[in-house]
Amino acid sequence: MSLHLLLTDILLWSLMIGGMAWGVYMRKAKAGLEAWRDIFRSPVAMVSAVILLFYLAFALLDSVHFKVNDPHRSDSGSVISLLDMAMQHRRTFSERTYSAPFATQEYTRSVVVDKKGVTHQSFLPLKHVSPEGFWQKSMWGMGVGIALALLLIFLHRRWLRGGHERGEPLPWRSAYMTFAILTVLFSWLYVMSFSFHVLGTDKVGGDLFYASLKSIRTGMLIGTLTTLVTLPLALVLGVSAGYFRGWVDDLIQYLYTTLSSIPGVLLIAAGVLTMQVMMDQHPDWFATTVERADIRLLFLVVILGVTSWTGLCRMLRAETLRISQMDYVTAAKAFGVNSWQIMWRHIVPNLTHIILISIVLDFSGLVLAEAVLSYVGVGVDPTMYSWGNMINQARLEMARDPMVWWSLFSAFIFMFVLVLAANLFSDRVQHVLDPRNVS
Amino acid sequence: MNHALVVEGLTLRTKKQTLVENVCFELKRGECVALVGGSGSGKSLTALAIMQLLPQGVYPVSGDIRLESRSLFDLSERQMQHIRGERIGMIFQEPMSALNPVVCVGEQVAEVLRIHKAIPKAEIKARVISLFDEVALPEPHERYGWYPHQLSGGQKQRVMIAMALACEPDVLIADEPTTALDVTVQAQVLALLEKIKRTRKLSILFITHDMAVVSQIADHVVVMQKGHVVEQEAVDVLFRDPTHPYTRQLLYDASGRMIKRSVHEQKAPTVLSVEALRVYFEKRGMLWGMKREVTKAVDGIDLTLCRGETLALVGESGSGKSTVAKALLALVPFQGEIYLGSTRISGMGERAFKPFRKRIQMIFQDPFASLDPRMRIGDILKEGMESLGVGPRDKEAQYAYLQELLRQVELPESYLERYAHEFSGGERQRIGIARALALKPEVIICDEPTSALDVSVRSQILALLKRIQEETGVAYLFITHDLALVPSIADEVAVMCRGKIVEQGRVKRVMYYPSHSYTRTLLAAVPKLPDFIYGKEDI
Amino acid sequence: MFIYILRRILYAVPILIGVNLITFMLFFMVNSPDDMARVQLGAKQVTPQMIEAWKVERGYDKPLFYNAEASGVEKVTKTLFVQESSKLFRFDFGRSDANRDIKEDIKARMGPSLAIALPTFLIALVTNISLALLLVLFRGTVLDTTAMVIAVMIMSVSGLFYIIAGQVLFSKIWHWVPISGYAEGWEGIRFIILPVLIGVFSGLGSGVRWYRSIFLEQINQDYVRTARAKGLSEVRVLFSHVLKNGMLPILTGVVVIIPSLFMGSLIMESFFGIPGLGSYTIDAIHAQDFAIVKAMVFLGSVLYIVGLILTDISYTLFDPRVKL
Repeated sequence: MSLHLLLTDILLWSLMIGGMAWGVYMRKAKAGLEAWRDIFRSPVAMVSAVILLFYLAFALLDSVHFKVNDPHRSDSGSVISLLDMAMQHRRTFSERTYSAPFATQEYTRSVVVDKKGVTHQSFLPLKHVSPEGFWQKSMWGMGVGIALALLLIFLHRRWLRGGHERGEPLPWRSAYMTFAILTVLFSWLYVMSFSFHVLGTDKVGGDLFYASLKSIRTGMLIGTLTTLVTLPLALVLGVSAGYFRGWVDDLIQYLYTTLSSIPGVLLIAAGVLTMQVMMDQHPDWFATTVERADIRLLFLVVILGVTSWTGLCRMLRAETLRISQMDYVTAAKAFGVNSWQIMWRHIVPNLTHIILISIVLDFSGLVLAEAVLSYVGVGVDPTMYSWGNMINQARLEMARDPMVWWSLFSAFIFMFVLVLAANLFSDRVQHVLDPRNVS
Repeated sequence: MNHALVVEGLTLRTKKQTLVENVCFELKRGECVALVGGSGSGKSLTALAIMQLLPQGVYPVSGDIRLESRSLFDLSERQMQHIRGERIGMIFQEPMSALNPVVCVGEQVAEVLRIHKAIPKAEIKARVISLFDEVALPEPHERYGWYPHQLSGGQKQRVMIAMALACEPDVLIADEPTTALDVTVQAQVLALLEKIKRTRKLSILFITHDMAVVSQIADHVVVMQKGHVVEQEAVDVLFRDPTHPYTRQLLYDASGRMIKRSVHEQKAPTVLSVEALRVYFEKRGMLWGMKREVTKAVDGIDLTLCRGETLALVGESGSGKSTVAKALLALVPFQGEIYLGSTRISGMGERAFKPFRKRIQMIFQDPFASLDPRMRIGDILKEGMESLGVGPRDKEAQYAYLQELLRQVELPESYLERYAHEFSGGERQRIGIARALALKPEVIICDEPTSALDVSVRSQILALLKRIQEETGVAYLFITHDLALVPSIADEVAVMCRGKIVEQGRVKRVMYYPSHSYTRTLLAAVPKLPDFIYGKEDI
Repeated sequence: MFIYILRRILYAVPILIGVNLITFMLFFMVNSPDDMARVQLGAKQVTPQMIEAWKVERGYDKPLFYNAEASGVEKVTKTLFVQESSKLFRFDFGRSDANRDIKEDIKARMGPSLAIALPTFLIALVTNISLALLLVLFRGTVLDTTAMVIAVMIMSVSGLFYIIAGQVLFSKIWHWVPISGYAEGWEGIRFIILPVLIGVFSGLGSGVRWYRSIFLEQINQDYVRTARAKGLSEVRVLFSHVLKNGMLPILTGVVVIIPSLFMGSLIMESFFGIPGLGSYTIDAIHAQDFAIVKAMVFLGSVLYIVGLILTDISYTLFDPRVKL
């Protein structure tokens, strides 16, 4: 096996490294650090952050890809991630059709011809399920989870006591609780997933627990990478419009009025359709379906970014207009500091709160948008695991009688927890950073 | 019962701290009590407590407030609604924002009548108009349907007064009602309040920080400091013989006498001269056509500033005095000639002008807007030095230079590493001065550097500016709206009105023998401290 | 006033040209006139001559942006871009891949779209504003905080779940309303109820939060303090002062979308089988029918710009500070 990073992997990791570098830089600036501590002073924000980090961990785990070169393996030549390796037992072996969570039989009857030659309908047992020892396995799974959680919490406490705790204590207790619950829950599910389909299987017998975990990366990528596109556009254009005014302002305003006048979904649809046709015309661009899906995801991110920078741009322009009237900018002009330096030194740093608020606020919206776009048919590649694709399938399953509810349920839970955590966190960020909330 | 309002042992707290403690005073019928103090003294909170309109999180813990022997703390919210507006009227500092912008002013006054009095509809309008008449709003019939943005600041404050008086209350609470107004308008509003007090036998609780205003309007003075009443006395007694050191300080600062100016006998060399300076602003029409409106912000002025001297540029808001400052720094396009020493700096491009920038610097009005909140003090001071190449380059020498600068403005050297938001207004203003001084300029333009500060801080800053002038020989162009300040700070004065200079000359001549009618109006409007004031003989 | 509106309409022209430019580029990047001809003529045995003839007949033989062969102004006007744009400006949307007149389709489908979108919009507006006012009245109490938590939770669920859950509960299990379909007139109400209710509910969380923040911002203004000092009760302060001022920011957000109601809701219509413009668009996207997508993009932009103009006009009606 050899390391084989996809384009989105590289982008996600560089975003992480960039974020961390910014964090280290911010540690030096006392005012910024204080604001961050203030954000985490709320237990709700702490809990949300732990959940978000949990999701992020899965996304990162799923963003280290390898190419299988071993000719003895059945999946030789395919590109798999660390998460795929961990879930190997559920990735490669699938059932024939639907089965409920923790079921031992298929969901629908099949026609079977028995030894005597009599045909009758019966529920076939699942192929990759070993139901014996349910409680033992459960205890084992939870035990591992508890041990792991306690160990990590203990290490963190040691680290804190080593002089890293400053000022008013943060609500670590809520963070630990959340962390412990998530770890125990996941380790239980993981251990059980060796013996059961813990969230059931879909129409072609694929494991839904695996599918839901794989979807995390898709959602997180769309939520975070889009920022990479919107931010530079909005920042450069918004600040130039607000600072230079005159014809620059007119031009940029024209640009974003034009873009925002096109209904968002339609613009995205038109973009994605164009891209799809282009990709269809050049099938030779991509070596594997994974790479093809990856490029398609990247295109989607770019299109989402290009269509959604206008709101942030408008806000940044207004704020730049305000800041450039401030006396400290006048003072800088009186010092003969040139425009670029004024923008870089005085205006951009004072826009950080708006940028941060809009990043965290947009994140949940983008995760939700993915589902809708996949439904409309202009989302991620149909072969890619995503909550949108899961819901899209589930729609037909709900019409069946009896209902197949678990794939909708899995997508719902995974998405709801992520989006709720993101929303609660962004609320807190906005509450702390928005200067209008000072009173 | 002689007392209209009694405040007894009032204590206000938030969860974390006590804001007002054990405040007691009485307001007699037909009397005006002034509540005086610096910012944070708790005077406005006391007023809001009387109205029971305290901001969220602030609550009274003890004490009593009685309106004609009725305790207001015993009343329910519903009963209190009948006190507000009907028995106690209130006017606020900012007439701009205190009126609802989307309701016409007549309706806003009529609303008070409608909720408190059973007056037939037809009569209400007539009542409002007669109220407008009483507060001397011109053309009251027409003004009824006007919206707040169509009125001037003074007119808005008159509407507020009409609103407060509509139900003929016993008590009027005026929270810094004239602070946001120009001097001439302030004089008119004060005269109006005085007149109403007499004709209606109204009791007024007047909240202010300005001792001169106090001496004009109050009968009795309550001095507050940090949430406590430190002294209360009848106005003439207090002014003549204050007992508490804080009161003495207030009076001392208000009189502005601590700065004695040495009179320059021989003419010093000119460092800055301005000839026929004009700044016109064009309002850009929408995309197509529309005739362009031209605002003449500065319309042909001449100024001369000599080395080591101070020229005060006095004018009311909108007179164009701040635009002059911007033009001198070449921050707005202008016409006319500007000479720095003997060099003509007008008409230079930005690149050619850059070397001259270090010779002319500026100090700003708002200490909170003038320092970048995201920068360390050290970086703020360094910005100009690095941009214009002043001061040592070597890191250690530069550090020593910055420390010396802070020493010069009487701040501890440790401030270099800290951020602006950690400091008070006075400290920030000192940092602003240090930033200008860092470049060793010949001219510093001071744009109302003290008007956003408390009186006591104001006099410290003025003293600092004077000391710096004596040490370095820098010339100040001191822009201010406060004519009372001029004798203590300036050698020369120029009075500006609607973009033009109407009078210019040595301070003594202009202040005591003004020739232009506008100067005379301005001077007459300045509230004066009484002659018998404490410490007069010190001079 | 009249001149102002005229100027706004003129100002809309460059924006619409920009919109056309974007769609035109997207359109022809993948769909050259040759491809179009091949599709239209049927895949079998198409000779280059036939394609050329088809292109000449339809005017697709011109260059995209610049015609070097023509002279004078025609260098610019005798191009595909100008030809296609001017068609759109005349609301001539041409024919779809299925060879139907798009303009007629749109006309027929506007009604059903509006039948869903308008009630949803109005009911949502009224409920959101009244709930927000209620919460502002009880701000800082347990009611307010609980409601805010519920609002965040409502916001955190994808709209698709509401639709699916609503259909399962109300149609499949309880059989209260038909699962999907549409009928004209009063008959149609039973089809409309569910999508409207779901539409209102799924927007409840973000809507109430938005209006609440607007009102809360107003309530800290000085004029509210003045109103209280006048002796007004809290309810009266809310209704006669806060609501009036809050209307201005609400107008900016609300008026602009009114014309776009014609476009219908993509998801809602396709789930409930409503023959409106939303499902029309979705079908077109699924069928990759560019002509319809292009028409809808143009229509959407026109409606949005109409919305902007209406917003400005409504400002002059409600805000005395704005004078034209």
